[in-house]
Parts: sequence; structure tokens; C-alpha cells
Amino acid sequence: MEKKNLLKKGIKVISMGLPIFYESLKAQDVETVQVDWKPPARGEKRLLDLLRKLR
Amino acid sequence: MKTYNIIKPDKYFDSVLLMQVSRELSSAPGIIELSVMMGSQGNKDLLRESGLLAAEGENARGSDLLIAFKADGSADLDAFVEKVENALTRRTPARAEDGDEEESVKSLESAYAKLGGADVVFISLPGDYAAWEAEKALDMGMHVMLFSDNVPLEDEISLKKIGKEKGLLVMGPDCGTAFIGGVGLGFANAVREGKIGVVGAAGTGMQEVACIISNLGAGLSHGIGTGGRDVKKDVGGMAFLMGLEMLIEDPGTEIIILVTKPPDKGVEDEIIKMAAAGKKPVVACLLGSAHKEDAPPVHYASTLEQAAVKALELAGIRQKIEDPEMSPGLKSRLEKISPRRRFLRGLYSGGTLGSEAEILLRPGMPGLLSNLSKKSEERLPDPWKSSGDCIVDLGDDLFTRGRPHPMIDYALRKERMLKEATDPECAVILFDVVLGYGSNADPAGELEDALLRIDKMEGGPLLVAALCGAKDDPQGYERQQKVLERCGVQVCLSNASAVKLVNKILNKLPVSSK
Amino acid sequence: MSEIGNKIEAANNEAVQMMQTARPVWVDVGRASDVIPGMEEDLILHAGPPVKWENMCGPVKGAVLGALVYEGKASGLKDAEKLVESGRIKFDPCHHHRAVGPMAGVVSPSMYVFVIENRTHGNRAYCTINEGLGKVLRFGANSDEVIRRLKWMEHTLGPVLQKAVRQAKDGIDIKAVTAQALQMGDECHNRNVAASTLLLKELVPYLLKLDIDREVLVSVIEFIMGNPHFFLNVSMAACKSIADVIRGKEYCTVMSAMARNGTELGIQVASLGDRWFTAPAGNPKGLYFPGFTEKDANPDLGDSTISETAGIGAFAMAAAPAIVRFIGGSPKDAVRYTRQMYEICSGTHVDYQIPYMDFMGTPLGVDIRKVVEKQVTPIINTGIAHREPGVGQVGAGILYAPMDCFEKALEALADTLVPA
Repeated sequence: MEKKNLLKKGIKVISMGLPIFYESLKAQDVETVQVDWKPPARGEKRLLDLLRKLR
Repeated sequence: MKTYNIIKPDKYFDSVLLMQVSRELSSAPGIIELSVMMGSQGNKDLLRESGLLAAEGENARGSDLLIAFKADGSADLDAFVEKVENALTRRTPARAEDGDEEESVKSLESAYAKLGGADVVFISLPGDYAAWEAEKALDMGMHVMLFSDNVPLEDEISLKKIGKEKGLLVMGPDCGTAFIGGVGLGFANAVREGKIGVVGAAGTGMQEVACIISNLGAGLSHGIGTGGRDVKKDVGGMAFLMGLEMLIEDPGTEIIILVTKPPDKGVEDEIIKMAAAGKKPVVACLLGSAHKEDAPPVHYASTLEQAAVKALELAGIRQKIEDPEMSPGLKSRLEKISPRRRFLRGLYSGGTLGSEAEILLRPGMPGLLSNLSKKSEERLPDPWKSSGDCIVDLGDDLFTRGRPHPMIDYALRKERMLKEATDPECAVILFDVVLGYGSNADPAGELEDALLRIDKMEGGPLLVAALCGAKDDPQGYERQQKVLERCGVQVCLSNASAVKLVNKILNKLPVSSK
Repeated sequence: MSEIGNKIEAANNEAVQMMQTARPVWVDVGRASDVIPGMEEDLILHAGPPVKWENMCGPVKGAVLGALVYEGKASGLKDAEKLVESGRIKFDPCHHHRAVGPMAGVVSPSMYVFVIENRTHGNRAYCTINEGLGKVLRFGANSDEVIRRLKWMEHTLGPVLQKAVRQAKDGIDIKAVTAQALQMGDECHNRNVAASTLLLKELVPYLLKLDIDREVLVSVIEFIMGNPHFFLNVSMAACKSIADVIRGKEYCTVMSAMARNGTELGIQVASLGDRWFTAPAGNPKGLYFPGFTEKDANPDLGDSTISETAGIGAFAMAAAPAIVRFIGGSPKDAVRYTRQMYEICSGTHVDYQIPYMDFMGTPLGVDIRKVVEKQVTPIINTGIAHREPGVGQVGAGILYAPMDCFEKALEALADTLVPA
């Protein structure tokens, strides 16, 4: 498959997790969005295992 | 005294915030111990170990907030729980900033839509979920940087295989640093842009190389992180090789630096083979490998500093880094040092920097102990307690359980520094200060009072710091340097020169009984 | 993505495509016993998943008894109850007969129903004619007045509408009416003001061409004009004809039906055919008519959630800001609900657009996997029935479907698609 070029200027970044890293992307004027994240399937292993089978 | 567990269903907060709040409020009136966590199985196990899990807490789910604490009779429980909740909601920057006009984005898909497409997903979620979201990101055609650690090896392998298939890079897990086209991701510095590209399986190693290059007047094209496990046999260097290939093909990169602890032999061979075939000059810094002769286009460097200098040389920039001389302040301290003081204590926040120090010191210091060493005879038996000469990596999992990384939170280092200083056998305290995005906003300020106390100790130990940062870092490189110097610290501009300085000091100690 | 994941993704995308291209057209009106497949003499259809008489909620029981009186099978409500208890009357969900019914959803053999044909895929779907507001059978009311209205509908309204719609050579395009109404402030579930007017506009020329008594004509037009929900039942049959096209689709994890019988809410999933996955029906939050409170409310009821299943209703709330009156929120809340539904859907409906959201298509095709992963269930707009039989509507409101049935469905999907 053709490579999706990563090495360029002006990358856009999605941040999931610690807000400090989102803040530092903002501080660098990067186009970025922080995901207001919650554990998938309320973090229940049984459901995650089911979902894993179907993804 | 009683243990209380209070569940707040379906309230998610990130671990750093939870740890901060736990620490901040654990000294509230009547509260003996506090731990606020998400109710995942792993966290519940931790709480059980520390005796903080009550019967009701067992029912908490991964998406529930679990407030666990011990209190004596004097505590106003309701008021306290409310205080915890307020402390948590007070600062969720993503929410506060968006205001109520703009909806917060709840998923990768909607974030992608909002940005009109994205190149990289930066993931610093708990390890249990990081791979889950990473796979989704790859499916959506985005490159991934996995800052998270505690991602199972088999997940790393499967993610990197998917990435390879789709031509997408998976940096990490446990990848702390990357620089892409002038953007620093994770723990990264405000380095200049230029023509030198780096692939690094060692996060702070890449920061150190990038900062030295930038501070000496050149710049970086891109810095690709891979996570330390990438170059081991199981993962086979999938990300490292892909990153190297990308830099070889990148028209903006003219010189390539490779930074890693010694890879698996087979992986190393593949990397060097690819580097040799790539026609661009490559400087390989395989920290801890035996000395190798240059075989252009592949050159070798034994320290991070040397890697940076060699790359500059290849770029036609000659910069000699002078060996550090002891400052007058340090000299006068050395004259007054109590004669029993004879050991080195290295307290590192950057694992790679700690490793480099260990590697450089070991030949002249056979008894050196460290929690970074793999060999059992070289391992510090209890990393919480120093003995003899030792290098302690405070970024070790052991220390970061329930606490933010030492590059963010300086509390533990401060405490440990004071403890070392009062050990009558400690002669030198060596430590790193890593600046840049993601790191503590004012490390020197955090350390100031501890350092001043040590500086005032009669006959006390000498303080040496390796300052890893770029001139334009948000913390203010020069300001940090000045504050540290004012506290009696001799600040070195690279880790390697800090180690050289330490060797000089140790050789001039009044005792030679070692 | 695994091999199975790819297959599911492809099937779901196809499912959305199929539902988008479905073109429901109103082609006929007919007696249930004549047109609904499998409709029998002693059969009563009801809303939602299957439910036994003893477990039926108040409004459904009230509607069943009213229907038996209306059919002349019982002389009064007491008599009707005895008849049911004798076991002679059979019950079946509307959904098992390609039909849907709002609230209690009771369909008995003599009632006239709309016949909607999906011209793209050729399948048909059915729904009774809406009786209007206030005390009506679908909310469990069953007084003489209710029965009299049903009789009038059978003898006058039904046959007139039949004659009128049969004159339309190509039928009346319901997809076009829906698309237009969404741009006029309806979400076509709990707000049908624009759509009902548009439908009447389509109908009037055909009505005027009929050779019928002028007074009858006036009574029919007045009846339609007096009911801002006249379109609802047409729309529900249309949605049913859309959702049915994915029923049985291999590897598809998209919800093909969602319906409530007032006791339980049940969902069906495309690749799992006619299996129901149920959970106790929830209680809507909403606006109550004067004199009534949440305590009077029956749990969530009706097949009208076929709207949300087909990408309109609460899913299109952003198109209908006025609807938020029911939930005491602001128009922004309406947008928020719609936005949230994109998170659990496989695609969007290209023809059902929301002006406020830059003419983005409504969220379409609820993927069971996404519901469980994101822990967000479909949002539902609904009327609220009194819990006692015979009282009628007490309010309107909003609620999320229960999570439990989606988790059960996920388990069944994993068992079926990835056998151990």
C-alpha cells in the first residue's frame, strides 16, 4: 500500500489522554483536537473482548 | 480510623489529574490517606495492596471514579468528598477552554471530522485502552504515537504489523518524544528546524541530541520515536526501520542520526544494512555497544553529545565542545567537603540520560549500582535506597506507580536529593533537568529550596546538573540555568560533559580509599 | 481491522446505502385483514417485542379491549377481558407482519391501514391511520367516543383515502415529503406539523376529483387538518419499509428495528434476523399536560422508534429546534442530541438533511458495536401514555434506550459471526 506521508510541515494531531500534551500542541500553534475520552464499553473486559472479536 | 470508598459512576478523569488531586488533598483535616482513581481492575488491585479498598469499592467499574480514603472521626466526610469533586472539575482544561459554545469532542471519529482529517493520533491513555484506540486510528489511516506504557508486547507487535501493512508509523508504546516538521510531540523541545533527522528508540536520548544540535546552531528535520522495545527481537525494529526508511526518502533530511540502546543483533544488522544502502550520512549512537569503526556512510558515536557533534561535522559545522572545568564555587566546596563523603548519587528523570551516565561511568567505577542495569550484580537492590555509587532512574515504573513522571512532578526527586545530601557518604549529586513541552513548567523553581538547603550544608556534597533543553524552550533555558547556578549547582550543557565533570570531582576527592 | 471486521464494515456501509436509496411511496389504503400479511380473524397486533397478556401494560391492555369492542367481538370492556382470558385471541407484534403501530400499536382485522411501498426494493409496510390527539385508542383510551371515531375511520375516512390515493398514478412520494419537512422544522416523530400539511397538500387535488358527498369530503379534510400528527403513521410505515431492507443482511451489525411494548424495549439486528433483544422499558423525561406528572406515566411505549431506526425522529432533532420544549432545554440541546447520534451510526442519510448543520445528512444506521463501545444508546422522542388503561396521552418527552439489550445483541453477534 502507498505510504501516507508523515514527514511534512503543518501536521494535524488528535490528542487522547493527558491534557498537558494537548496544551503543548496548542502552544506550538498546531491544529489539534483533544478527545474528551471515556473508557470504551465502561472498561468492562467481557464487553471489550466481544468488541475485539467484531472489529 | 475507617476506610471509605465512594463511587461516582461514569466520571472519567485522566491519571495525572487524579494523582495531583490525591496528593493535594491527602493532608486535608482528618484524612489519613487518599487515593482517587478510576475503578479499573488494576487500580482496585493497587488499592487493595495498600489497604484502601473497602467492600463497596469492589463494585467500581473501569469508567467509574473511585474515591478511596482513610479518615479518623474528626473528618467531615461529605464536605471532603465534595472538595475532591470540586478539585477534579475545577481544572479540566479541555472543557474549560471550549466553553459552552463549543461541544467537546467525544471520539476519534468526530475529532477527525472536526479537524478535516488528521495525520497523527497522540495517545497518552491508560495502557489497557491505548492499543484499542491506536488500532482504531490505524484503521482510519492515521499515524500513531503511543506515549502510554504498560501496553502488552503482543499488542505492540500486532499494531506495528497493521501499521506496516498500511504504511503507517506506530511510534511507541512508551515513546516519549517525536519531532515532526517542527512540531514537538510528547516530551519535546523547541528546537530549530534544519536538515538533520533522528530515529530514536530512546526518548530523552533524542531530546538530548536534538537540543545539542539546536543549541550549536543547526536544526532538525524530523525526529521519529519508536519506543525502547521496538529494537528488541520480538518487535524486530518494525518502527525503527520504517522511520529510517522515511528519513532516507525524505528530501528535507540530509543527515541521519540513530539513537538507541543496543538493539537485538539481527535488528541491528538490518538497521545498519538499510543505513549503509541509503546514501545519506548516518551517525549511529548505539548506547553501550562496543566501539565500532566508521564505515561511511555509517559513522558511530559513543555518546549522545558525540552523535550530535559528528552530525554537525558531516553538515560542515565544526563545533568543539570543551571538556568542562570545575567552577570556582564547586572548587571551594570540594576543598571543604567532609572526608567521609566519597560516593556519587545520580538521580535521573530521563532514562536514556541515566543509562548514558551509567555506561560512561562504569569502566572507572566497577562497583556502580543502578536500577537501569540488566545485570543482577550491577542492580541496585532497593531503588528507594542508595548505597555506594549509584545511578537511579526515577522514571522507573516502581516510582511512577500512582505518581506522575519525574519530568513533570519534581516532588520525589526533591525528597530524594535531600535524603542523599544527608547521607554522610554522599560526595556528588548528579541530576538531569529536562526542559521542553510536556515537562514541568519551572524545574529550577521546584528544586530551588532543596538545592539551597544542600548548598548551605557545612562540608556537604557537590551538585552537578545536566541541563537538557533548547534555548527557546518554554521554561526559559537561560533562566533555568541561572537559578540552578545561584543554588550552587554547576550546570553542564550535555549529559556526557556532566559525567566527565563528575569523574574529575571524584578523582580529586580527599579520600582515595575507593 | 480483522477479516470479520472488514466484512462487517462493508455490510454496514451497504446497509446504510440500501436504507438511503429506499424510496417509500404511499400507494394504497386497505383493511388490515386484506393487506397485512398473516393477519387473521382473531389476531390482534401490538407494538414492541412479543408480550403476554398478563405482562401487558395498562395502555396496551386498554387498547386491546377497545379493539375487541370495536370489532364487535365483545359487547363491552368486561366482556372483552373475558374473551382475552379465554385464550381465543392471539397476539403478535406488528413487526412480525411488516407493520408498525404508534404507542399501543394495536391493529385489529377491520382497521384501515396505510400501504407504503419501497419503490427501490419492492417491499411493502403497513401502519394504521392516526386517530388524532387526546383520548385515542393508541394511548389506551377505549370509551364509546373512541370506538365511534374508529368506526367512522373504517366506514368513511379509510375508503375515501383509498379512493384518493389510488388516483395518484405513481403514488405519493413520502421520502420527498420527509426530506422537505426536515427542512421545515419537523423531525417527523414527535413533530409532524409541516409534514402533515405537505401531505394534505399532495392529497387535496385527488380528494377534490372524487365523486363523493361534499360534507363527507369536508369531514375528511377537517379531520386531517385537525391532527398535526396525521403524517406520523404514514412516516412510520415508510420508515418500516426502509428498515426492513436490511433485515437478514449477512455480517451487518446495524439495528433493524427498535420498538417498545410498554413493558420492554426490544431491538433487532440486521444479521440476526427476527431475534429480539430486550430490556425493561425506560421512563421518558418530559413535559406533562396540566394535572399529570411523571407518576402517571407509563414506561416507554410504541413502534414509533422505527423513526430513529431509519435516521429521523430524535436523530434529526437538530432539524426541529422547537421540539426541545418537551425536554425543557434549548435548541442547542437538540443539536447536541443529533451530534451524539453520529457517534453510534454507520453513516448519514444523504437525502434527509439538517440545514442548521450545514445540510449534513441525519445519522443513519445504529451500529450495535458503537453503542456498546461508546456507551451511548439511541435517543428517542416519544409521546407519554397514562399508565392506566383508558386515560390516554399525558405528555411528551425524551429518553435513551436501555443499554442492556444492546449488550445482549453484541453477545449474540459475537457468537453468531465469530463461532468459538
